[in-house]
Amino acid sequence: MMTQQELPLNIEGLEQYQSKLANTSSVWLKAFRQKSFDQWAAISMPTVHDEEWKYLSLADIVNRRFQIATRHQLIESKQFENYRDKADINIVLVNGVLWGELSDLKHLPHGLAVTSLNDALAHNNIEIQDTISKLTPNDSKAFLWMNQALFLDGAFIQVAKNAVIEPLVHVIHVTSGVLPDTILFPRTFITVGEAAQVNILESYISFEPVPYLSDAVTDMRIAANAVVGYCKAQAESHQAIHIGTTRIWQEKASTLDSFAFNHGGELIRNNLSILIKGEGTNTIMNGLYGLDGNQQVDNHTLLDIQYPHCTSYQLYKGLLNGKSRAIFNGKIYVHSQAQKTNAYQLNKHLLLGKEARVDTKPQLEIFADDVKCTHGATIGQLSQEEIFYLQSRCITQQMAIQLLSKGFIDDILNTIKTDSIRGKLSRLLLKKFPEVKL
Amino acid sequence: MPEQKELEDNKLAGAGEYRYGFHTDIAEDKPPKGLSEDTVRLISAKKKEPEWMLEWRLKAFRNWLKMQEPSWPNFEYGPIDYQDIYYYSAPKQKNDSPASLAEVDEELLKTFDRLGIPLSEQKRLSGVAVDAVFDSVSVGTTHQGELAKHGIIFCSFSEAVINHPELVKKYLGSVVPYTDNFYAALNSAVFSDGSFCYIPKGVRCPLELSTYFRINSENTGQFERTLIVAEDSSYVSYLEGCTAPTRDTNQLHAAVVELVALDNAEIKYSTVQNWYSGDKEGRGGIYNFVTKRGKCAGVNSKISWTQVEAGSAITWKYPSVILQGDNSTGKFYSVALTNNHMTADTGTKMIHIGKNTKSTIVSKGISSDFAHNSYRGLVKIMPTADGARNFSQCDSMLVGNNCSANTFPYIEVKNNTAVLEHEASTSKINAEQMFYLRSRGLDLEESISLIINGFCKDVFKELPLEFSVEAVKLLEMKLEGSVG
Repeated sequence: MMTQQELPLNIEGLEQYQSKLANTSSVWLKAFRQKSFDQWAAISMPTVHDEEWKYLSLADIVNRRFQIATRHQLIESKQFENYRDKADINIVLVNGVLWGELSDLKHLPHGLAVTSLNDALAHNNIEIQDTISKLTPNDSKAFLWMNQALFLDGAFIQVAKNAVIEPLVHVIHVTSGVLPDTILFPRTFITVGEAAQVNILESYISFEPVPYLSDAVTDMRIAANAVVGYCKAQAESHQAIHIGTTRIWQEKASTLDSFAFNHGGELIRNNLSILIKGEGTNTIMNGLYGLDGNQQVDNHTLLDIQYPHCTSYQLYKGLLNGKSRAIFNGKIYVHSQAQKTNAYQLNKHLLLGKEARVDTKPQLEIFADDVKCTHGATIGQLSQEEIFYLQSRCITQQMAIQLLSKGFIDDILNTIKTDSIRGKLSRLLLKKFPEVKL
Repeated sequence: MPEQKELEDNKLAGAGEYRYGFHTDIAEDKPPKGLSEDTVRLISAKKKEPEWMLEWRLKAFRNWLKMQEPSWPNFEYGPIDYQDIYYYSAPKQKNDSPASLAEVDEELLKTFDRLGIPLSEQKRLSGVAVDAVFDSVSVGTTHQGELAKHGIIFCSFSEAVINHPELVKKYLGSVVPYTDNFYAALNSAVFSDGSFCYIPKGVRCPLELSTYFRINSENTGQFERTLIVAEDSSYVSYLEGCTAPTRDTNQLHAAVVELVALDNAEIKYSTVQNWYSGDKEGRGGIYNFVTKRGKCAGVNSKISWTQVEAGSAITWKYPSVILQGDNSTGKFYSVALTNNHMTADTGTKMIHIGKNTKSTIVSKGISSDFAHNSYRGLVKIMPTADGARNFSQCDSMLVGNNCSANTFPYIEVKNNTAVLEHEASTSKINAEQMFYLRSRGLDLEESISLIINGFCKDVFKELPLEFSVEAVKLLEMKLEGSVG
């Protein structure tokens, strides 16, 4: 057994925690956790010398001493109640554990099944095992393996074949009542059956000003002809660190409309990878980050196209205030058999803050010739001409700035088709940028 | 023009083949293979260099020993054995240093004639002054007298070290220090020759200056160094061309180019790179690992890089501009054409430091057969660069289904008044455009050539006229037979 000091991250009481996990696990899960742990223990945390982590320093995380959450209880319930909506199907996880009392598990619509991930794995769910074995770790190996080795529970959401789920499925990961420097391992597994339709919002929230690290992983498998709307909204408290990995497997003729919303937290990293595993898929990957203060947000996206006749559209927008910092790396990989691919990628930034900083790298790697792939990136302030135009029509300068900033954000916010999600995100933005009157 | 005729003759001889692949049989002065401090001392001694130059070389060499070969590129190449390379190879001359071109070996002059670069008095290209570099040494520089009238210094690097030590000392390594990277350090230790060019205050250079590089000897590495200094309010346009014989083994070419533009000065640097690129199976060819960098040190200065990369088994270069002076401008125009098993990883770096600095990047990549073509660029806006502006465009065209095109643009912004735009696209030749041209009676290759020319036009129009014509021809020749 390795000693604590040699592990990539300093976690207190790890051995006791692991033996507790081992007692309750199925054979497959035990082996899976052990394998992941060995893989994790063998590597070190990424540094700025790793190409994929070039702009985001984790030095602060590596030097901290973390502890594992022991209590799973919701403390601040008033703000929580405000955040969730009665019309949605709410699935609540507190510190990574599925919380039945707060979730609407009893009256689920036909075709939707939600269980605790632990239960599903204890009963040897073949679908989960099969999908996990196929998905490759992306840029955040260290965090993925750490999650796989140490996750306590999670949500397992299944949408049956041909089912159409009308209400929004809202998975809420809330961090509550933890001690400073706690590390959490939220995990979600979603499978969408053939020709099924569903809208899912996954929120990460916390209301208490406590520093913690959330190492979140979401895996999703979308079967042929399914139509999925998926939004990840991250609105944690200011001291939170969030390193998220989202891996999506998309089969033939399926449609995915995804949105990444980054709002709260001190340091946020999202690794979104979408594997195209069938012909004629349609993928939208949009994102918005509204930052201020010393916030740092790093979005790494990968679209791996292995089949022909696929289309994709990507637009990420960032509004940067104060000393905030945004990093974007969007990779589109077109394999040689993926002919007739149509891929579009754009990354736009509006710099409001004097010391705001942006590092962006839209990246294309193309091995097929009959394709149309474009990407672009812009960085700038509001156009002086546009402000002047509005001023010349008797609109004050401040009002003009508000209008133009709102236009910048609405452009991307309006691509969200589900009203309920859009409403929630607008409310969050309004709180953060009252001067912009979004 | 004699040059034109030569072109036609060669075209008839072997269409689509590399037509500079001949080898010149000439007696060589070639010390043994291998690299050590002694090699460095030997090269320095051969050049009759002063002590300070040797010291600088040795410092670079000691530093190189501590460095690691870079491993980040996304292409593979066989290991380079640095002890299995000749670091110096010079054609034996009748006397040690020919005083004028008339004394240069007949065989050498013929070689350059065949390459379309006549050096002899009567055949010279008017309007272009040429410094011809053969393996490790410069064999002659034309029009020196005329240039001297304007106070312009244009000579081989070895001459500059001896005749103008104060200038060389001041600017050598000021843009690319010997600590910069693995290949720049190697070059600093063993560079054998190259061109030096100095334009005094207020002078607009009346001629195009040009260096023609030729690798002839087998198993040699070519390490040349070019240094161009443009004083206040001066202007110079500089051209560079390169070829090498056809061989089965890979040869290393690691050059360093430094440009310094002072207040209000302008430097235009154009390259048509056509080193031997290997045969159809990817055997042989030049490894072209080059460090090129310019510094806009003064206010309102301008540096522009224009390159047509059509040769080399592997091209790995990023001509960059450091925009230090306020209101300075950096430009980068590139066409990279790869076929067979060639790899090109090229792009630029624009470092904005001064206020209101501007940069433009236009890169066109064409990839066919089994080739890999990558654009890798960096635009960096430092906190001091208020009002910086950048426009980047990189387009790739794929011809065939076994090649690849990649773009890796890095954009780093630390100042909120900066405005940046970047766009890139990858596509194939538009079927509708092809149909339109074919329906008007153009044959397949003419149509493709026309479309490709249009695709690259933004870059070609930046080239001086002589080069522009050559570049178009080169492109046509390269693509011949590879499309269909």
